[in-house]
Amino acid sequence: MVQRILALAQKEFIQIRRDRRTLAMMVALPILWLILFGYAFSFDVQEVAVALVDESGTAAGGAVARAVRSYERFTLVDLAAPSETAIREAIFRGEVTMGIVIPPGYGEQPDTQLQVLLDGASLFAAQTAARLLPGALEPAQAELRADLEARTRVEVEARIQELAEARRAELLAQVPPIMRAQVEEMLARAHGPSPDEVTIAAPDPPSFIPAITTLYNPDLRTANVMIPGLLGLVVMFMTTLMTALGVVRERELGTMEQLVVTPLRPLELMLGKILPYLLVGAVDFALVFAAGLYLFDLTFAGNLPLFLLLSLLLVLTTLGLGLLISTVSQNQQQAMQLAMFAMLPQILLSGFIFPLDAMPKAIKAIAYLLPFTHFVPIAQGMFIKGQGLDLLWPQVTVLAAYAVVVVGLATARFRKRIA
Amino acid sequence: MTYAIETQGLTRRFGRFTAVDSVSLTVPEGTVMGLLGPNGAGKTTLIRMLLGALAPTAGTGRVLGHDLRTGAEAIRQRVGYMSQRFSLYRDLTVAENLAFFGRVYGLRGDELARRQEELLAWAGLLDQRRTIAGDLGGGMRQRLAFACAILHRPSLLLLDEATSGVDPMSRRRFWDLIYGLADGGTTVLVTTHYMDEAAHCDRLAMMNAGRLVAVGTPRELQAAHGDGGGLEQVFVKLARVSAEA
Repeated sequence: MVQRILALAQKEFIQIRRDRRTLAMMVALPILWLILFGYAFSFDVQEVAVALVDESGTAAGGAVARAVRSYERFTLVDLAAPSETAIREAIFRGEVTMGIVIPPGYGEQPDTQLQVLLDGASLFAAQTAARLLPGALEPAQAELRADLEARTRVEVEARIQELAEARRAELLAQVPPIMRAQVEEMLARAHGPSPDEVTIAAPDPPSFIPAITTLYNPDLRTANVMIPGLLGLVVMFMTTLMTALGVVRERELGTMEQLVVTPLRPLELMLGKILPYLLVGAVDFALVFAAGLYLFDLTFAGNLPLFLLLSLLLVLTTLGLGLLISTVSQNQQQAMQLAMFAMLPQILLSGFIFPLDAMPKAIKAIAYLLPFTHFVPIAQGMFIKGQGLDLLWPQVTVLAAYAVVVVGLATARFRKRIA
Repeated sequence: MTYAIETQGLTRRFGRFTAVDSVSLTVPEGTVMGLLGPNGAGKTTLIRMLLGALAPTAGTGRVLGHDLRTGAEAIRQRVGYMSQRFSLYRDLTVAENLAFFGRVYGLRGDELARRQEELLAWAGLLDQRRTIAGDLGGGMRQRLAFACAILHRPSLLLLDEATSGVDPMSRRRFWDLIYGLADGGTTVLVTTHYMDEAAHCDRLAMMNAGRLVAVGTPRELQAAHGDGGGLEQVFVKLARVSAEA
């Protein structure tokens, strides 16, 4: 029995060794995953883009501004004309994650609070920003508190001194003159409230508690940010995998051999294989879209026909990718592995799950090479904020270029493989 | 005489390996030509070139009057092809398979429906029209594949070991269908390892190591190379001689 098992195992090893693709995948995948899970995955954004508007004209406001500027994890973004409107604009454009407005008379007039605006569409960055804010403000608060304490102490000390003097004079006035010397000595020895022992713990004034307003995604809900990206992900997954499998299945069953001797031209064959999966992708797209609207209460803020058109660019790319995979795969299992291999980095590195800003530079560079990375900001920007082509054109350009290149390559390879 | 197939020095190399080596072959219209040879002799490569599915490395060829290199599309519209794999969609029904291939060849509407019925009857599959092709027995599956290959009334049939793997009864029935087509004027080129089938061909072509080593009627080949034995003896002798050469 052991012998038979060993024989089988040995045969299996020989097969694996013969299949270089599987062998490469066996090595590359763990490495890839190690890199991904070890370095890339962090929801914590390292640097938050912050815009600051100081309208206070007070020392307290100045202290806060200094603290925000010197905080190492905030990157200050300069606004052309600093105002709250300018901040909202910058958040819409995605240039700024958090805006801080220090209102006039901050710290001196009652009921003045820091106004903080967050970009709820950049979920993780916004969460990081909100979490970092108290720490960033801490030096300013310490400074203000110390200042307040010092001022209060001087006043209180003077007052106590005054009171003590008055009470001593009063007491001495009541004492017969002959006893005054003794009473004075007694008073000096008695434990009166010594000014040195008076300590003042200043409570945080309300001006230290920032008033936070989150724009676009007020509850910082994950779904609002995930659903738009998921639209692309589902479409990518289905079209890439199913196209690859669909073509390879023909080859595996021998029907491709029959098809190539029919009058079907390679291009017709390709389109015939692609169209069904394009439809599958469209149905999935519609399903996720509907789920987003009705199950997750999202509202689509952008131009829907434009969004559909731009999504088509992604679909063309992923269909082409599926075709490319089919031309280098011998069987369905290989096609499946290759498809996963092509899609996994796109799922993980696109900024769909983990924020791009939380990734190390090298991994970010890889991320920008992947087509899906350029679809995620389109989907999120249009869905949540209603951004248009005026802002999204860089992503759209890259995605369109990918669509043209991948479809062109796939067509060429497919024709060559068929003919 | 007009030829359905005419090749001149047709050659196909894969890297350093020459699969088909300067084959010059003519097949007159309306005849059944048997293509014999050991495995790896180049029969399938030759057929794939004749189908326009594989470009020749050298040499020329005409099929049904069209040049192999430039007329592939015209050739495919008039050629039927069937391989030993019976390339059917196993998850489609008998009727769905016929309908699919019919449409690929441009049949539609009433004509497609009529032709479908004709072929179901011809292949003896009238009761199986809704059966999933994968559930058919070997003989039936073979006849279905055959029906799919001739749905478009091809003038030339290329059968590559189309009879392997089915029982003798099914084979005989299959050959009856082939003769029926040949009688109707269809040219047939068939590769086979069965010598009883070879004996029924009008002419035989023997290939070995990519070369065409003998052509003639079964009787002629037997007389020249049979050494008193049957066609099997011819096959063994020609295969061995070229292997040693």
